[in-house]
This record gives sequence, structure tokens and C-alpha cells, in this order.
Amino acid sequence: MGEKELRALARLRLSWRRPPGEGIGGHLSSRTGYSLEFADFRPYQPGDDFRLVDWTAYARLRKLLVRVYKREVEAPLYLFLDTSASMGKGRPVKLGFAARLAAALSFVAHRSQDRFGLVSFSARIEGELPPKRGKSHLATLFRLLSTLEARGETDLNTALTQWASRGAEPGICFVLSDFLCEGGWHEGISALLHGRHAVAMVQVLSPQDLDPGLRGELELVDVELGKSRRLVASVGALRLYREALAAWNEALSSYALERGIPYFLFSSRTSPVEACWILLAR
Amino acid sequence: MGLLWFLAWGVVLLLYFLQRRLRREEVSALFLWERIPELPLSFRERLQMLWEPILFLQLLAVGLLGVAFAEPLLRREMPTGSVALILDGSASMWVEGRPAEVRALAARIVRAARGPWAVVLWADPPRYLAPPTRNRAEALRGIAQYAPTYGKRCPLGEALAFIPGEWDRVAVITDSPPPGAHGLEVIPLPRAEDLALTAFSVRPLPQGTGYEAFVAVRNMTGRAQEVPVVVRAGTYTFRERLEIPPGEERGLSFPYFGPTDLGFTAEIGTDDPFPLDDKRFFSFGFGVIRVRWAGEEDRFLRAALRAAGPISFVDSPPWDLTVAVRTELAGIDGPTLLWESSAPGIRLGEPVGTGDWEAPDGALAQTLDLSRWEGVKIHPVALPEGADVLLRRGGFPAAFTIFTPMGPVAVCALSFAGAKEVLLSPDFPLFVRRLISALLPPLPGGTHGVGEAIFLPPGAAVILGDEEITGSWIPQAPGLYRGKTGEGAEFWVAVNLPYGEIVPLESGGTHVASPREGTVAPAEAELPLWRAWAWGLLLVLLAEGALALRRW
Repeated sequence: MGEKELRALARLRLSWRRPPGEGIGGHLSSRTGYSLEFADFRPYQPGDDFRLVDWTAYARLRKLLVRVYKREVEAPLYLFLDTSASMGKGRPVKLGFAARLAAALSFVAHRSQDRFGLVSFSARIEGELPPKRGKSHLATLFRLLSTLEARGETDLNTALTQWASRGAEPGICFVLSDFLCEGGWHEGISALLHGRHAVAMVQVLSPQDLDPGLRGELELVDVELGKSRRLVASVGALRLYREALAAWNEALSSYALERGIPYFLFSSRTSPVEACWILLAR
Repeated sequence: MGLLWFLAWGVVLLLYFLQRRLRREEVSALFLWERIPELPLSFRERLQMLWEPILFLQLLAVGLLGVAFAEPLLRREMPTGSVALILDGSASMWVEGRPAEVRALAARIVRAARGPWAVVLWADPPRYLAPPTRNRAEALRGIAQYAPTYGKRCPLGEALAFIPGEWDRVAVITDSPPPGAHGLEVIPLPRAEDLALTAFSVRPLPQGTGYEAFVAVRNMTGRAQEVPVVVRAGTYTFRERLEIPPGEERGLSFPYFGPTDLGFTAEIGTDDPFPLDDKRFFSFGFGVIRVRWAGEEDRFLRAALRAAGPISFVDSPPWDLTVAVRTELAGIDGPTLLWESSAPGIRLGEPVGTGDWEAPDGALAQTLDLSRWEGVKIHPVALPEGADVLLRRGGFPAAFTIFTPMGPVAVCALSFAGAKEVLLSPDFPLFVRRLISALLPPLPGGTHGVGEAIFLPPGAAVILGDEEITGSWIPQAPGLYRGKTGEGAEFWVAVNLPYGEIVPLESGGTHVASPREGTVAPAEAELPLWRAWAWGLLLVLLAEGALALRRW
């Protein structure tokens, strides 16, 4: 990323409506607590800190009212990056876009003084960088991103469930994947949700996934499973493919909507900075 | 050449199917392709699967490009305004049914036009059948009067002179399209397939013992023919058969020793659709020139006299001409040729051989090559008063004519004894013929063509039924016509079809026509279509582009 792009990213801030996390951090939570952000008044109750009594209101109303503030929590950022073989396809390669998007999100988290970590997975957890703060951690994460290779099958359910079962500290989870996993994704995402994580599903597809542009007689080979299928890619056949892909994505979208999970679909041709803006502008 | 662009169809199809041959492709998720039927498919199913609109549009675009390069024209029938019709009126149009066909074609053209109209008979001379008129009925009446003549036709320009000004359509209906008729609409009619008698003549034998008749027949059909030939002269009849291959001409000659003051007829027996050329006529006309020979024998002079015309030598009166050769005549009696001879008032000296030649007579100056006449000597002679000098050498008159009260005299004061090469050259008979022509009135030949002017000698007349024609006469139909001289002697004039009406000259006489009818092409306008094609091509390319963008 160039200077211009980094400057654009520096204006972003990682915010969440209901940030998970327990420790005191920079994310305003809907829960009350101690911060500078005023939330409400409530009647004084014995045991309340006298310093929170609003004496101006008492002078006017002759009632003891206590100021209530929003709670600021710390939410670590977990970046789940699909490194299965299918992410190595496309022009531009999907994994390249996803890695750059992960880097951009990390940079934003770094600027927000949040902790950020990386989990690469395919059918299982391939690599993990625990969430930390700091410039050196950012550099480590960048180095790790640059060494990632796309290989193996995708199994979102297994990989995410495996990670969630460790009981990691609740945080914001960005799952960057093409979600083209015949075995589904429901269990994996659900496992994250059960772990009280805030989840965002970011689907990355290549232009060739969206419109294969193939014609004629073909022997199609699944890049992950190695299975093949011989067919004629006609106009009608491509229409059927696009319908199947649209149905698959519609299922993803519906699932996310039902659970209040943000869902995004990006083409790998999209600029990662632009995608980052779209992700964080919500 | 533009249609060769259609070969690009093959290239487009080849590229298309090469692009669509079986190949291996990796995809991210094969399960998304499960709804598409798997190979093998039947050939028809595969073709159906491979077919796509872009290919169709590409083929259409290439097709339009090919048609555009072929410079297409739209021929659209246009209502004609003014029409000038030139109807061939030559004798060759007498083919069976042809006049009615011409009338029908011409009437169709006149009815299809708004007018004005003009109809010209292209004969010799040309004439109006209907002068320029805005009355359609008048034009049709003129066409109804159409009938060919028995003569040839004049140059086309003379017929076109009858229709000055601008005409929307000038149509020429003819069986012999004139070469280079640019800007005219020529409606060609087929020549008839027939046998034609192309030549018939009777000529004296070189040795002077009799005559030889010659007949030539041309086969202008598509197959070999055996043709009976009959020649008649008075009670004399000659029959023969000729076998003639298609497209060729065969001749036949036979001796004739009968009288010459008859009309000769040659005829072939066929049933072809053009009978006019199956018969030809011949006549010696006013008979032969009777010549009295006096003095020494000179075979070169005799031969030259025979070559000059039909001549018979007589010893007793009457005679038409006296030829005196190297002698001295006692007196002049009628037309006389003095060949190195003297006569009262004309005395020749001893021959000398020097001096330059001079030909005051234009005919001799044009025909003789006097540079070869060096060996010819001249007898000096005193030129009588009133003489007309034809040839002169060294200031002496070599040949001259003079009219005496006893008849015209031509004097040849030349000695050819030491100049045999001149006697054997073409100059000699030409020289003799010129002297004879100065002595005798121009005797018309006996055989003529239709439309050819014949000048009859004083007192002579041609008998046409009850009418006697004197002076000049232009025969209008072929035939053998009887006449009589001023002395009451009978003679015959043979009139034949012009040769060009028998054999199409422009085709070299080997024309074998196809038996089809002439057609009238309506007046047409040619609209170039390439612009429309180009617009069509642009639309197709736009549609193809839109389709491709939509897929993108």
C-alpha cells in the first residue's frame, strides 16, 4: 500500500455497535460503566459513588440523581483468512486481495490502538498470530501475510469450530473467505457467535467466479477436490452457473441477515482500501 | 470478387470451433456446475449447446461485408418517359414470324412509357414509322405498319439523326446489334438458323472457250446438312448436292457453254425460316461487248480485254468496238482502240524510250505504278486537236482519246515489246480497262443488290409488269428482272439480297443462333445498396457489442 492509501486508512476507526470484550479499551459499549461518554441519569441508590451525583439537578429538582456513563471496552480484532486452494484462483488472485484487506484492517486496528491477530485456515487452522498491539506486531503480521500460500481444501466449519473451542477472548472476527465450501459454513460461524465474538462475513470472489467467460467443450476440475466434470459451456450453461452462484450467495446473505451478521461480497478486482472503507463505514 | 469475402464465414466458424474445442479448466467450486448436463451429448445436442447469438451476428456481419464489397445494385423498374424506337428494317428481319415479334415488342415498350414516342425504321434510307408524337395511338399505328425491307440498313447514326434531342429511352430492336452502340438499349433478336446461298456468278473461262458457274452455300445451323443445289438458265438446268458441315461454307463450280443473254437462277432446297437467302440470281446484263480484232495478234491485250468485261470477238458486223493492233486502219467505224496503230489523221513515229512519265488522268495516276514502266517505249505522235491526253512521256502523248464524227477513238502510242514485266503486272489490264471505258458508254453489270442504283443506258428499260423504267432504277426486292435495249434486244438484270443480310458480318459468318425469343427489358434504375449494407453492418456490430457487454 502506498502513502496515499495509508493516509486514507488512517482516517478510519474500527468501531462496533456492540463490541464484545471485557477489559477497558477504546470501544464504546452499550453497557454502562466508566468513561467520559454520558449515557443517562438514574435515581441515587445507596452505595452509589457520591462523585456521580449531579448536584445541579438536585438544586433544581430536589432529587438525588446519579450520572451514568457508557462503558468503554477493549475488543481484539481477529482476522480469519481462508488459505485454501480455491483462494489461489482468479485474476486477481482472491488470496492476494484478502491478504491486502487483512493488512488494511490490521493497520486501522493498529491506529485505533486495538489488538489484532491473524488466523489462517483451510480445512483446519494453518497458522495463528495471537492478538497484540504495536508496530512490531503489525510488521510481523504483514510478513506473515506475505508468506501465505493457497493450498488444501476448505472446511470452514471444522476450522472455525476448532478455533472457537479454545475459548479465546471475545473480539471482532472478520472471516475473509470465498465461502465456496460444499460442506457449508453455518457451524463455524455459529461457533464464533457462541464464543461471544462479533462476526463479519467477507466473501471474496474473483471476476472469473462471478462470470467464468468460458465457452465450448470443457473438462472442469475442482481446484481443491480434484474432481472433474465434462460439459459444454454454452450461453444457457453459463446462465445456470450464475443462477447457482447467486443462490449460494443468497443463502449466505440470508443467514447473515437472520443473525445480524454483517455480510459483504467483494470482487478481487476491488481496491482493498475501498473495501476497507465499505467495511468500516457501517 | 466481393463475394470471396464469404469465404471468411469459414474462417469465423473455424475460429469459433477451435475456441470451443475440449480443454481443461480449473474452477473454485465444481458443485456450482452440477446443474449443467454432463458430456457425452449427442451431436445435435452439442451443436445446440455450442450455438450462440454472437456467432450468428458475426456470420451476419461477415456476410454483409461480403455483399457490400460485391457492390450490390438494386434494379428497380422505373416508369419510362419519352421513348424512341429504332426498328431494324433490313432484309434479315424477314425471318419467319420476326416482323410480328418486332411489332409486339415495340408495342409493349410504347405501352409501358408515358411518352412522347417516336418510331424509326432503320433501313436504307431510314424513315419514320411514327414521327415524334404525344399520341400513343399514332405511335402504335406506326408500329403496326412495320415491315422490313429487302435491302441493307444504313449506318445507325443516320437513323439516330431522326430522333434529335433528349430521350429517356432509346431502344434498338435488331438481329445484328451494332458494335459500339453506347448509351442505347439494344434489344437483340436471335439470327435464324439457316442455310444460305452466299455466292452465285457466271464468269468466262480464262481460255475464252466458255463459261463457268460458281455457287457457294453456307451452313449456319448446328448440324451437318446435305443441300440440293439447282441452277437454271433458260432451258438449261444443273442439279447437284452439297454436304456442308455446321458453320462452314462449301462451293460448287461447273462449266456452262450456253447463251449468255439469259437470267441465271441458283436455288437451294431447304425449309429454313429465312427463305430469302435460298435463292440468288445472276445476269450478264446487257450482254457482251462485241469486239472486231484487226491487225496483229496480241494475247496479252486479248486477256486484258476479257478481264475488262464480258467480251466476244466477232468477224462480221455488228460490233461494239474495233481493236486495231500494230496496223493502219483505213478509216474509223464506231468506237476504236488504236493499239500502236495509225489511222487517218493519226500517224505514229518510230518508238523512243526516254523521258519522264506524266499522267494527267487522275484514274491512271492513282492506279499505275509508272516507276516500273521504264522499258516501255513511245511512238511520237502529233496530238490531234481536241484530244484528251491520259498519259504522257517525255512531252509526247502516250495515250489519248479523241471524239471523231465516226466515233470515239482511244490511241495507245506505247510499245510494250521490251517490257514484258509490265504486261504481266496488274498495271496492264487496268490501263486497258481505262481506255475501253473511255470508248464505250458505262454498261451496267447484270447483277446488283437490293437498294443499289442502276443507271440504264439510253433507250434501255426494265419492265416491271406494265411499267417500263428508264434512266435510273433502284430495285426494292430480289429477283430476275427482264429489260430491253433501245434496239429491242432483251436483257436481264439480277437483283440479290445484300451479302450482309445473309451472313452476319460482325460474327465472321459462323454465327449459330440459339432458338430463343428476344426479350424486352423494362427501363431500370440501378440503386447502389452498399450504403444500406454498411448501415446494416453497423447495426449488427452494435448489437454484437451490446450482447458482448451484457455478458461481460
